Amino acid sequence: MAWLIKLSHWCIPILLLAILGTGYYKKIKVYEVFIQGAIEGLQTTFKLMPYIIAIFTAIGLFRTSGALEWLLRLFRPVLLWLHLPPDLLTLGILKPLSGSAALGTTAELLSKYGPDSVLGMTASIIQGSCETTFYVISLYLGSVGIRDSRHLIAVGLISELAAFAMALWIGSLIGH
Amino acid sequence: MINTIWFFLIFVSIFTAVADGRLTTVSESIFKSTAHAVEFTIGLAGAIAFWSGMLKIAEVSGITRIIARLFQPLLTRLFPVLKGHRNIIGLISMTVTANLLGLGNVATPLGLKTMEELQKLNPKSERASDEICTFLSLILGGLCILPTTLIAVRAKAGSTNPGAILIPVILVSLTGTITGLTANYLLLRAHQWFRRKE
Repeated sequence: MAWLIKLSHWCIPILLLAILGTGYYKKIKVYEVFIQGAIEGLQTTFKLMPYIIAIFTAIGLFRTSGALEWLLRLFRPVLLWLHLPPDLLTLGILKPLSGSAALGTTAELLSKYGPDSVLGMTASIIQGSCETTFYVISLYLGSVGIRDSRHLIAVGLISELAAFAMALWIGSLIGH
Repeated sequence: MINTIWFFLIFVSIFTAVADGRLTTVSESIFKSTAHAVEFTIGLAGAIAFWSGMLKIAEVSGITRIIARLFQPLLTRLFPVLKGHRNIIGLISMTVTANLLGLGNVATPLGLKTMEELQKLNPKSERASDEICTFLSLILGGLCILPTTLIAVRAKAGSTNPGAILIPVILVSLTGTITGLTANYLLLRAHQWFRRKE
């Protein structure tokens, strides 16, 4: 395990050396080209701001107004019927909405139940294998000014649901 | 669809806040979220600018095309239209690799650069093209082989084996990605079929 983590620490320095080394070797004006790219990058970032404001505000409201709790309460009977802890659903619903909120919830669940408990493991698996659907869609489409997302939200939620179900199943295998 | 979801998120929230008598939280929450959104974007700006600069060097010096050659056999199956576009295939490969290794700060700038290139081939600029849908389905699957942040969080919580979730995460994220790509493929085919019938 340790070597894998070490490998990930090496990735960025090696990548930088490879890019700059090749560029310099091929007699490219690395500094000028870098600045040109950075300008384009900054323009993209500022185009993103309205999209990020829109998504953060809607999700912030949804959490602070108590609508999220209300939604969770709606699902509670189904969970009890399936013998699933409600805390995992909170995570499953938060994950596609907000990355930082989901990470916070995972950290909270890990300290509450222990990182190596069945619930702690399941929560970790959910956290590690689902994307923040709404953020990714609005960020990526927003950066190029696309307004019609077609079926992408459905695809995001379907893959999230498949991953969530698979995570619960693997979690139940760990428990046995 | 995003219009409906965005509308309902706000509508339901305000409705709940009114029903619970938490009226002041609405304006408080808006103030906090918008400030956070601006801070977040500005925080992101530096990393995006830096990596866009580096990517420009990679593009000009031909590194993107070398990486493309490695991934071409696999990716041209997902993106048959992009066969001749080495640069885009290279960018897609790099974005996916950065996501696989859990390098979020690099993955976002790469993904945005890929979107910019894919958008150049999009005939209707306000609507996601088939290739953009497939690319985003690939990203939304959340495929990951090294969840670095997660392992750090687990270690901080006092886990005796923080990396124990590695194999499950690979399996689960693979399931999610394959399901997402299949759903996207079927929906794209269904759309083509309906258009032909018209």
